[in-house]
Amino acid sequence: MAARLEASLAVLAAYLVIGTALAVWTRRFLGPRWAAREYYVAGGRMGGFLAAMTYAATTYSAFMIVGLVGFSYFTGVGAEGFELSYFTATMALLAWLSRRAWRLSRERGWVTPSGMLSDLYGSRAVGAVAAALYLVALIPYAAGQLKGIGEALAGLAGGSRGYYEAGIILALAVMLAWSLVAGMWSVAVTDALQGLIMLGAAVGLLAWVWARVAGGAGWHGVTKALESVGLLGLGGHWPLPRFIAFITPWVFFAVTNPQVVQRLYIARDEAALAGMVRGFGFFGILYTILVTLTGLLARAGSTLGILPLKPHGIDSVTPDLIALAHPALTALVFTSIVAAAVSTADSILLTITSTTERDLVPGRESHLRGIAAALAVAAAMAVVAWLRVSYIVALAVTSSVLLLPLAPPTIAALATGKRLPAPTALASILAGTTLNAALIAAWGPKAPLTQAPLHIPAPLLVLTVSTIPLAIPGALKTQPLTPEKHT
Amino acid sequence: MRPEAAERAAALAGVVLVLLMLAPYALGLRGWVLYTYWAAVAVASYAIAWVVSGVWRRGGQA
Repeated sequence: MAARLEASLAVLAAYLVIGTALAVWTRRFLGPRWAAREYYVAGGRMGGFLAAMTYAATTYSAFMIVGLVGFSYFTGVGAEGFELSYFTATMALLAWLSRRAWRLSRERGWVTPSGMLSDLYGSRAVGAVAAALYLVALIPYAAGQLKGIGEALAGLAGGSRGYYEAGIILALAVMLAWSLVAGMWSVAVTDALQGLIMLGAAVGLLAWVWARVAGGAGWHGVTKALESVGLLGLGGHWPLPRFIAFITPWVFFAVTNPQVVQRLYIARDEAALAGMVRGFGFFGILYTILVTLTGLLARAGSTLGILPLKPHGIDSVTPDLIALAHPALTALVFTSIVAAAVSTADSILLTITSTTERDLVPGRESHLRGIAAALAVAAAMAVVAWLRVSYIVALAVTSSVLLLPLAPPTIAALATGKRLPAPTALASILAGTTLNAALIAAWGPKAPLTQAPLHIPAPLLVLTVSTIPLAIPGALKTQPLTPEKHT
Repeated sequence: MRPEAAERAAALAGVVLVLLMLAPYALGLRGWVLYTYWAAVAVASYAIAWVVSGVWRRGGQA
């Protein structure tokens, strides 16, 4: 264990040094220092490679290399369909709406997704409601990333509470430093580094599991082993209502999660935007295949007795697996877990800071207000992570359901590209949010994902309720966007 | 092709592809055939996004 811990800490230290050096180096790209559009969306001057890497690293959190490996291990091939449903819908949404969002962001000077909604609906109230929803949904999600780093470090050190707390402090410091030093520039450049670590570690882990399991038992043996535990079909673990419940919030992730919507504003031109969509797509499909195959092969190896794995839950599959690998691979995968968590958490921090500062508590733009908002949001994340309460996980998995009511008004506004009536957006967001709140009050924090009132999966019901206000006659009556901006 | 037309076509294709992600329940697919089927649908969505973004790069000149 000591060798693994030492190797992991050494690779982690190298990653932190290189990442911090890169973050400081990016200050040279920052234009007029605290101009909001420059700081939060890189002044819309980013190239395709960086835009693609930050979109990918922000999207794919520790959920993939930890959660999806474990999900595939325990629930089988359906986990791949669940994650690729997100991917398929996101490719379509990006192809349909991203150029429109990018073009309007330049014309209208958008900085935040909630500011975008304020502008498209001609009402600050719409942006304020959206910004409040981001806070409720995303602080626990980002706190879950900090908690993941703490748990990973504690796991390497035999479960020590001290290492858990050190992990939280480390994650907090890195997240603040890498997001505040140069805003979107430092986040994007460190995301590029982290994305490469995530892909490299996933390739290394799959190659090792493949060599051990498929190399030992052959592909036929792997298939027989997975068949014997019922993981190659959809029957037991993935009945259709459950599949629909899981994919519904994921299908709309690209238009509901502000940390990815904000990235639609950063490309310097249409070629860079195209590079972002293509690069993200390549990363996404490759990463999904790598982690789901790893989970399936690990389960086959466990069933065949090749890998002595006895994970006690979904999130312990990857830690247990890398504990069997060479210390160098352990260190690389451990660092990739930290990278995946940090790259998502710092992006969320920067986005929530911008939406809180500009749309939730609108006022005069200033450096101090931005820093204060970032520190307040980071402190809230740290407190939630520090408490180590179990419902963080439940809230994290339901965060996208909580944001789901934003999907219909966002899609309607971007699809028309014109001003729509503010009551439409407010009714849509409040209807879905009220239903989510009722579900949580009745059945607990996992309810928006797991319950099926009226035999309809809850996320589908939330989406339907949020869409109804758009069907009211006159609700989508458009007007031209006026020259004045509401950002 | 104009970018707007390509984008509208991509939206329609996206709806069809997301529905195709559910088709294994009707078709009774399983095993590595199911795994490959889902991957193929995802690759198709990537190909559509690639084509549409190519239209952007060419400034709307197909």
